[in-house]
Amino acid sequence: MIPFRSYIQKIQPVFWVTLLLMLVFNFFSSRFLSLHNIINLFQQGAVLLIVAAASTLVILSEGLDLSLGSVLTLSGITSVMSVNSGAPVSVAIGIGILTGLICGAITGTLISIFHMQPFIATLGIQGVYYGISLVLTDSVAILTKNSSFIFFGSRIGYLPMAALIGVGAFLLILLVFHKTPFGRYIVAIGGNESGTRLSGVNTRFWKWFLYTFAGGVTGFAGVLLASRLEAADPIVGVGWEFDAIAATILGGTSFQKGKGGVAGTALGVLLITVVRNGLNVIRTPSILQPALIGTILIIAIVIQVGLSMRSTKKEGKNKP
Amino acid sequence: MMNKKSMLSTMDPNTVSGVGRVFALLLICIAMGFVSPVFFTARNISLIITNASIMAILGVGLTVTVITCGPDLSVGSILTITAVVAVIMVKANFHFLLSFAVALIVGTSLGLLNGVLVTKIGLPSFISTYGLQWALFGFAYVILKGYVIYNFDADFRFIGNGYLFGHISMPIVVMMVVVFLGWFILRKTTIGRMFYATGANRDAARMSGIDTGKAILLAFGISGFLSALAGIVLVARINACQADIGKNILLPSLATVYMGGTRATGGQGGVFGTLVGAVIMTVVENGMNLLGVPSVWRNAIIGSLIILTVLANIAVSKQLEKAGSKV
Amino acid sequence: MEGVHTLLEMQGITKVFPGVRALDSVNFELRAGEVHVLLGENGAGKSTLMKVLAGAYEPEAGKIFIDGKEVKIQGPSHAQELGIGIVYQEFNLVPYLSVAENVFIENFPRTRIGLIDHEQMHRAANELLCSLGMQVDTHALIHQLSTAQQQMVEVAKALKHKSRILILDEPTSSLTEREIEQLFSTIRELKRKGMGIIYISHRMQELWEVGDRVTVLRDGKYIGTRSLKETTPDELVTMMVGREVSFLFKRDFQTPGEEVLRLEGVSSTVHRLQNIHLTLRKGEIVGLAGLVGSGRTELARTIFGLEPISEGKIYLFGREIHHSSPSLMVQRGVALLPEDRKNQGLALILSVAENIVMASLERLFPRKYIHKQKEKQIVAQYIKNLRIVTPNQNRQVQFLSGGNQQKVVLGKWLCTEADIFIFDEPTRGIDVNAKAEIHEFMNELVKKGAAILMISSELPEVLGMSDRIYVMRERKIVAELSHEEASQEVVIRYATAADYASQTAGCVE
Repeated sequence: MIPFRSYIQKIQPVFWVTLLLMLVFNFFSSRFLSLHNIINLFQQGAVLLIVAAASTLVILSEGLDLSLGSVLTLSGITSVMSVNSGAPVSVAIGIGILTGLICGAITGTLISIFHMQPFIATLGIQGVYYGISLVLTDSVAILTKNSSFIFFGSRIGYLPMAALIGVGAFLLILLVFHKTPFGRYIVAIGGNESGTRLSGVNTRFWKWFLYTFAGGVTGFAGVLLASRLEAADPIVGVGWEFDAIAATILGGTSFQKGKGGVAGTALGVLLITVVRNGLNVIRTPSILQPALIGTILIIAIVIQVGLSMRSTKKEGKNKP
Repeated sequence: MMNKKSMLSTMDPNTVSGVGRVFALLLICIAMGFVSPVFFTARNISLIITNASIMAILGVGLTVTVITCGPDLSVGSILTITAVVAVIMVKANFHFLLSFAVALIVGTSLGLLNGVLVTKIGLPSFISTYGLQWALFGFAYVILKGYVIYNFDADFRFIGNGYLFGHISMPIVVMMVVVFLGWFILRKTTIGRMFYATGANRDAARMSGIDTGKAILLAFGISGFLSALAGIVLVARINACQADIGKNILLPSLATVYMGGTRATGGQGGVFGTLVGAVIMTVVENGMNLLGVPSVWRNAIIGSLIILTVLANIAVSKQLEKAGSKV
Repeated sequence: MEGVHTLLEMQGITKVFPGVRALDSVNFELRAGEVHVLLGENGAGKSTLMKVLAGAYEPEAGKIFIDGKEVKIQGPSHAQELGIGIVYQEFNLVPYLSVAENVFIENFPRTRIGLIDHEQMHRAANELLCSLGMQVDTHALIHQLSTAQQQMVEVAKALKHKSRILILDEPTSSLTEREIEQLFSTIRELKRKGMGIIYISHRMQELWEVGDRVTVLRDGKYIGTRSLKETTPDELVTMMVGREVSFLFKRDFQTPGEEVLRLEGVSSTVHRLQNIHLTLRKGEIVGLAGLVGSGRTELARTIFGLEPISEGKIYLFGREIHHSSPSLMVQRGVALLPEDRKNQGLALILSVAENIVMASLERLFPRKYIHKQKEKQIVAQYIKNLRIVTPNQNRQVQFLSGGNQQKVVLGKWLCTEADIFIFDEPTRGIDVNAKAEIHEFMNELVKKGAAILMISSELPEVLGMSDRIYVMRERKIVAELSHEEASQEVVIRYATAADYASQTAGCVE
């Protein structure tokens, strides 16, 4: 099929870079490609995979959500607080997701009803959600000792729970994206919002629903993160939204016309996770890591966007 | 007989909203005076204005970028890295003026880098500037390795805690110079006109022969320069520098810009509004302190302020449009 | 005609917009199995009539009958339910969704658990497209299709509600010859199935290929209906034009001076322009006529340096231009007044003064300092000379009327003291008085030695104002006519390529 092939072509460089990085890391430390570390990779990447999928959906609609990191934080806190106050684990998970849904619904209202620019609305609301996180925790991480809540770190045989849940959730989002009207309306809003409205689709509602959905998904990811860390930290989510955006861009999604897809984001997540994990494994001083990762991500984005700009120019020339 | 709407419509919209803003500031101050007896003390007022200065310096740069193409979300990180550069140099016994110069050059270059990412690579400004900040904070962290550097020479500190003619605090002097220059460039020069035209309608500006790429590059350059300046004044004032010094400064300074009435989508606004916004912001922060609001509430309050202000700006400009179209 | 089923009847339809009677008691009738062409100049009311039928506008007066029963169309979705499908000139498609998804966008087929039933959707889309005689992979993304294929998808989308009435608004305006052939065979197929098709077009030559009857509108009025078998292009052109060419403004013609602009074999891949030769001299107005989509605006943009040329040469005042850009062209004294005033001509949220000096900043204030007093005087002068109605100089342009906005754009370019003015549809959408004023200003400009290239879709304007006229068709210049040679009939013939053979005068090819 033609569309799929061009899509693969587009994210090919990311794939090769990832592969190259894996080899390099393995050269410096043979531990990198050990079973133990691969399991680690999955555990570390799983949460980002889910958040990045949510972020991709929003970006495909020509939107942006800078509040995802704060939603991740806040929902982790509410779920840990409820499990610590004696709620069953299932209820705690539900509360975490509900927190995300409410956060997303507020964001969605600002953007689709009040027509605020997405980046301003989500930047402002980010402050509010972090603020609430700080208030709830009084700026200190809350630990949890509940053994059934920390399920995310467990394993089924060799399979880490994290990988199962992360990949499962990602596939579910992929299903929503490709197989439900909602998923298709995301692309439609990004590609031709007014035309879609003229075709009889309630684009305003679906836009609101998109941010709500992204919030809910991130809420779930927040619970998973808290479960893995066995704690809820009020600043744990700082910067996650940018990792999610970077993964989206590296996965071949552009900011315009609903071009791109959710599947490629997995590759972006893999690259970011490999970089983060690899730097650890080869014992890069931890103090260097944020700067290195930030620089690598910026350069990767510039290359990816630059390459895709060149290929679009070529496409344009071939057209009659 | 003139009803309220037709009154509004005959006035310059900037005047209407400007008057509104100063009025709001006065109301907040009076309210503060009622709830906190120390609010109107000379000491507190001068503290407010001095603190507002750093916010205003940063805010002027942000105003220029918001007017031209979109806010520079990396101001906090540029402030941090340049402050770090300045203090490292001065601690290494370089002349303090040289350390200032290098910091300003670094800041300007980083601003220009933002501009290049937007104009040449074609990244949306809110992605490139937001992304750059993580790398810059990382570098600040690398350089300082988590330490706090403190206790600088009096020469270095003068710009932050000195007094001109014995009475006027230096941050206020710097701020006044910056606001004046910002006003001058925006309102009195063709460069300012380029900024407004580019932000109001980039296509129309380009089709009027304006080099919009140059305008965007310049706007981010100015923002980078002023971020560096704000960083210098800040470390000189608090006499210490650490790697997270600028981490929580983006939201409040962005709030000052929107409170000052600069249009979120560009093309309208100015530095005097931002100055008023900076004072409001500082009064609010000062008030929170005086009233004993726990510091953990700070983020939530500032975030809500941004959203409420932008919503209010949207509502006001809709009203003005309605009133205006009836004439 | 006895025994022919009348699908649709519209009687006495009247639609009034502020200040304009867009439709004045218009009648229209459509039979099953016919293609009924709706013909008229720009602004004759064709699109308005169709928007009434599609439920986008509510008429002030008139009745609509479908299958002989009177109906009141409540809105777009009601029109769909009544079996009316419309394909607008501008497509409502989503570039990165598949063909099938686009067809069923507002009502996807679902499986029992609520997911999109892809199998069913692609099958239905495929059937629909096959019935239109179109072979296309329903999995392909819209942006990968040609314009013609995209149009077929729009047709399929319009027809999926078992529509019996299909409206096609200028369907061939951006298609190639071969694609048009394909469209026509689809239309014939639909006809055979008993559908009624309303076909809006300007292109004379294609009407006989596809149409059965034709109704002509002029100035919002119903002029007449003919069977295409019994009419000629000449009769239709006369019906469309009707009146004598009414001069809005009497120009003072003069002998043109030296050449200021020359295009030699200019082509552009971006805009598909082909081998354009054009000259412009001091003191003349040169009209650029042609249909929408013939490439006039694109030519203007290319001259102004907004998009690069791929072949050929552009000479300005005898010197070849390299590395063209708008800022270079402005410096050299070229002005472009774009068709899309609000998006390209003006910064709506800025003031009258800021807009007027926007293009002359470097000329007026070479030291970069803006003398407020000087600016005020200059702006006041243009406000006075152009009779711009505004309470003050600081008024935001968005609050001015269309005519005054256009005068601000004009003021902006007069302020640059340009020598070459390119006007793209200078009087579109502005009232009669302002129109006459703009024409007067153009006349004065050329008297003072400027050169004007004017794009206009209004033939009386082109004919009345121009010293010479170039006619464009399909991205090429197909004729150069002198003021004396040009008439509505001749220009329309060249622009639509009706009956090429009978015309010989002044053809450059």
